Amino acid sequence: MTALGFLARRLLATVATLFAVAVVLFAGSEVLPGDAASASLGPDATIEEVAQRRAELGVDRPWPVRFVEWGTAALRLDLGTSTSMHRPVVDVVAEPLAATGLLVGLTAAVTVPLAMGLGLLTGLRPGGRVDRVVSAVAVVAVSIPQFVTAGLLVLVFADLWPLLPAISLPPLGGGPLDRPEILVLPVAALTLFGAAWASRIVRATVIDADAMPHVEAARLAGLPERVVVARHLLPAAAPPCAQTFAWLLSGLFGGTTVVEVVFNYPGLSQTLVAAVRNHDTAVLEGVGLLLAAIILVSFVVADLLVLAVDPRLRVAAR
Amino acid sequence: MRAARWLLAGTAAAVVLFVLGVALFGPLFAGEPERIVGLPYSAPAAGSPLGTDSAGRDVLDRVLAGGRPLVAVPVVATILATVLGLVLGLLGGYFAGITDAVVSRLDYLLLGLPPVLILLVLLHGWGYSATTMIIVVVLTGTPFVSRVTRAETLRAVEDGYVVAAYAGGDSHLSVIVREILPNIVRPVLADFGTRLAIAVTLTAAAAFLGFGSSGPNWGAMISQNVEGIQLTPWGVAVPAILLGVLTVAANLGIDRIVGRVLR
Repeated sequence: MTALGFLARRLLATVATLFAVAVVLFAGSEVLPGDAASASLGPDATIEEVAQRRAELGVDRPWPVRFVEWGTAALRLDLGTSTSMHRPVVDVVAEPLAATGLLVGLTAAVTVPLAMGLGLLTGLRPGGRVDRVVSAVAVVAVSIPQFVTAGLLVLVFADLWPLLPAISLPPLGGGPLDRPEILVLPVAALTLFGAAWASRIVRATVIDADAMPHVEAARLAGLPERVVVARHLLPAAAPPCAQTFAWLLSGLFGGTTVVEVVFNYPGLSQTLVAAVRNHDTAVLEGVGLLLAAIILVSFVVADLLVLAVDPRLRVAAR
Repeated sequence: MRAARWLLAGTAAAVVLFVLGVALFGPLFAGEPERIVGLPYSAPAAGSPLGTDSAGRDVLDRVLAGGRPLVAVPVVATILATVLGLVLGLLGGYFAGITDAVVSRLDYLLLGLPPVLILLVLLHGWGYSATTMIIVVVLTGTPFVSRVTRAETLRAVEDGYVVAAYAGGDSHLSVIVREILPNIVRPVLADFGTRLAIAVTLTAAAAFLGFGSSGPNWGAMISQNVEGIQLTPWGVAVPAILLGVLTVAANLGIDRIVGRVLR
């Protein structure tokens, strides 16, 4: 299969998956009995009022019709109107999405090199002293819920030893980058989990790559360890690692939801939680679709990276 | 060295048993967790040894009462997810073709969605209930089991004993249940504890985000009391540590036990 064919197939699969996600999101939030009309009117509304409201919101029509309307509008980047805030969903989510994206981006920038380093350190000498200590810490760090880690970090670094702010609110009228110290603890909480998780998989990948014949041959030929690792082992380990980091991104977008709540960070979590509480279906579906799209694109990017480092596919592309 | 290791293992086991005891039997000793006993965020005092929470309720009573919701739902849901994942993975791995394609597509679809998003969508559609939580955990956990089962089944069908059983005239069902299942059950159950820990985390996360049942809950206590952490830390510290020990114990402890029993 040529590289181009490979890419085309991946893109097609991505579009198909995104469509399936859209169906699931729509079914989960609209076909199920959750009802924005009665939620927005409160418990005292009469049946007639609810029916009228349902007609206003357009939710009295059959759901396949609504799905097609919603889906085609989403293709034009129109995600509908928030029923609780009476503003276009795109406007409602733009700022929180940027704030969460900043958190995820910073975390990834710290986590990826850290996880690669720890994975190499432990995977090149499995069973060694460093490996045993790092692995034990990693297993514990992975097991603890991210919001518990975040709570404990606040306890230590904002209360017992007040170095950093416990609340991550940006200054009025400014963004998180105007007060960068508010980002430290949320990023630390996310990194602790992400690096622990990803380094375990990098470690396993490095152990596998280390046993490959060409790596052994390079070592037997007397090449310095540095060269063996950089030129022979890492390229073999890179494809699974790229996939791992794409998964990590998916995990981080889930993790931020709870970590942001601990710090009162103005990201997507507040938007999502408020949307569920106010039965704001349009916002929930919009955020879900955006997140799924970002995650799916990151998988494609991971595949592109694999394409860039895997000589077999590159040769086939010529 | 040996003595130190035993001491460490013994201490760990004691801590885990203590936390499990608090989670399961704590509600018997909790007084009235909803009663307001003082000002919000009071420091520990006689009568309330861990102080009060954001609403002036006794932290110790709420800690004692708040662990049980994090045990029952995750255990039931993880068992359901394991059974469902086993069935789907066996079907996909054994029958290949269209069955496998459907199972695999479904798996990757669910694996690609962040679990918290699945949680929020279903909470939006159905509201909170134990059933909703169980379905969320099953939806997020099943694909993992199904992937492992499928891979192990693919390996097993190639083996001589399966081919022999089928060639000997055994039905598909008999081959699956009597030949393949016993040989794949160990690797599939190997990370039961990990999935249980994830289930506990999700259940606690729902409460943490404010969607749990109305009663006390370790997950909810962390978000309710984090704003007063500088006044009194116990409303966050105690439930956070107990919840952390519970998930680590589920992850490490159960896998050890499963490994020993199935050896």
